[in-house]
Amino acid sequence: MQNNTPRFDPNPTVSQVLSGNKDAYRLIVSEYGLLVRGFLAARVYHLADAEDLAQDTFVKAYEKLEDYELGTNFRAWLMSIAQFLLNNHWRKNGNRATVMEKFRHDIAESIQAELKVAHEEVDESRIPKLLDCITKLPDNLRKVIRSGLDGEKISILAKQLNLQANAVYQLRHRAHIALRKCMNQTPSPTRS
Amino acid sequence: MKNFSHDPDYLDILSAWHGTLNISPKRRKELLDRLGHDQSLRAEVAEEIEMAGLIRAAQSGEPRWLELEEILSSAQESPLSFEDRILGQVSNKPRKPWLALLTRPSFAWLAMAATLVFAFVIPSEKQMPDGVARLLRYEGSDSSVQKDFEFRKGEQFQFNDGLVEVAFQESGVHLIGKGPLQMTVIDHNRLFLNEGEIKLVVPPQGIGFVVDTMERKFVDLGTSFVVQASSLGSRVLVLDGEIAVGERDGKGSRLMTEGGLANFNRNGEVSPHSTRPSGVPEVKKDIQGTKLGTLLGSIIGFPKDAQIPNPAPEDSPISRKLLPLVQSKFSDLTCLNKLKKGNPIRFRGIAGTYDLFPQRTGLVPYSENNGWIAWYQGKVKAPQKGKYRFWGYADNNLLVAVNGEPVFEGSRYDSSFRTETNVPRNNHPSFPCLNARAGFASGPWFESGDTPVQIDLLFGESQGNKTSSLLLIEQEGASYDQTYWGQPKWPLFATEEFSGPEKKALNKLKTHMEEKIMGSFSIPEAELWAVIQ
Repeated sequence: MQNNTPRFDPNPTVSQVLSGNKDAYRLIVSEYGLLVRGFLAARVYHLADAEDLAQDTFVKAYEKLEDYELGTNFRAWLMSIAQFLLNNHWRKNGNRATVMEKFRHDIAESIQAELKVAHEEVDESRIPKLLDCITKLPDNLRKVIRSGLDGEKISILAKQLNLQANAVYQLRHRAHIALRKCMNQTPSPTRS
Repeated sequence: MKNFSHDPDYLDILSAWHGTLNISPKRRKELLDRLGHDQSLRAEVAEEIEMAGLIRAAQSGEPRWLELEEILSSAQESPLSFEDRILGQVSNKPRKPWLALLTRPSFAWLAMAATLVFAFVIPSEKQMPDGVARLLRYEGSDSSVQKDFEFRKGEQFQFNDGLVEVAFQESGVHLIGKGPLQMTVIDHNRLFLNEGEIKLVVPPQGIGFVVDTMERKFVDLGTSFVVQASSLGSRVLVLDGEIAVGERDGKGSRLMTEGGLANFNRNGEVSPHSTRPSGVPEVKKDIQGTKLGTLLGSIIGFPKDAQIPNPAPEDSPISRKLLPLVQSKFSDLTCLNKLKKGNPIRFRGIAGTYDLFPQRTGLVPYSENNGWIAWYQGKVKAPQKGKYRFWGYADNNLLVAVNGEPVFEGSRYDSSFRTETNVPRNNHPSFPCLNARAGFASGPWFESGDTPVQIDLLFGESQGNKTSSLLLIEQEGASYDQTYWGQPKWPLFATEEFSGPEKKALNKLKTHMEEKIMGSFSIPEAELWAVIQ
């Protein structure tokens, strides 16, 4: 799908930050915040942990900004920090993990390459359209998406919809396909 | 392209990923094997997980990243912080050797900072504006506490016993302090707590109010919270809303929300609210015997050699096994077949730790990994006609039914009573209780009139032998004493008077709860329910 969205060039902003305008870093956070949070929320079970790791990523990136080589791939550099912190998180929490947490980790390990590809296919310029696309979903799919994603809520939602939990995952699968399509089709808002 | 939405492996992987399904070891291996050799499944799962993460993040709203905000704000021309002002003032003075300590980013400077407030930050008495807070009330015997005392900036205040109530004039912050207490009012928006315990209620105009202790600074974000400080460290409990907890070196701001409880020792280390009932006293009660006028029960568990299909780490096999009993309004007893029973037991209230309960009630040997349940049943009559509701919690299983209908479910998240019965339940994390992060649970009101009601009470452990619980009852319209932070002391649900030694043990538990975990209850006297034979 063709993407006509003007891309954010982080290099001038990074230069501003490095020359003393720390406030400009907020633009970096704004542009990449959802991408980093989404990356971590996909890989960490508890959302609060994912949010903490996301903050740590931006703090670490800020501290190490001088190490970034201007003109290279800033997103890849930022995500490598997120991945590093994520690995640390897994290592630190590995001993305390329950059997199911370990199983989730095993799943993540076995699909690591595919997860990397899936993440690289996410176009950060199109992420802001996600919420708009959710509002355009049919009622039942929107309800599934908005119900949240933790286990207890899925089971409650399944009861509300008089469905098995697996049927909720089927609906969500359909919703995700629709959302991906919508995000790629909807014209991007003009960057101000 | 293959459609995976009907592929059971794909759906099981997603269920496991999102925590709704516990899967046997054999099935886990099957799924990992399939992932290992099916590239298209791996790609589909990865896409689904990536998208789910993005949606989770997008729907969770804008995060408040206080640590990052602090770093970026430090670049602005913002007013100097309290600490900076202190250090700024100090640096303008002729330096004495011991003052060099203050230039280091250590905890030590803050201890001195509170005492230096007068000298370096607070204007002299003549220049000082009107007071920033006023003492509204004092209940205690310390004669040094003056009625209508007005706190000025930098005012140190201490008393030995009782309670004080203080209102901050501009921010509208309301403080209740419990003696012995020592604190310094820095300004209308900040105080330093040296020692003691305070509860703060912060209205919208007071958002941003800061409580400093030696270990942490607590920034209110619209809430009510309790802070304790002592020579060993500090502790915070969020009763309502949200606070930010910052480290003294300016790093690591974290949000804590309703029900959050954390301890900070003098080295700055955090020990979050324990998830185990460590230290909760076990109350020794006379539970044997079948005398008249008592609510009787039996303890049930799986035989020692029982094979449980699909055991999972976060599962409660015994509550799952007894579900048909609950769902049949306690008429279908077939689920009890093949289970092991202990000795007959008497209901003596539920309070405290029950780690040795299976041993004391003759259930041992049994399948310890699969838990146990005590089932009490009988006809009871309320002390007064009226509406009642149960409060409490259990680690792990607790359910009460009246005339067959469940009216209270206070189990932990992994109990089938909680996940499968749909009993209306409200969680009250601002009323913390032993090791329950959800706090006290309450059930719906139910009527109890002149006619006795059938009561069925299930209580027990899911796996292992670390069991604790509390079951209280409230009558609508009745007034109960409260802890000073506002938690009513509902009475234990009980059908017999407690003996002297039992009351002593229960009082010990109550003291433990009030001092260590900020919960409480009362020992029933007039509130006893009668057992009808």
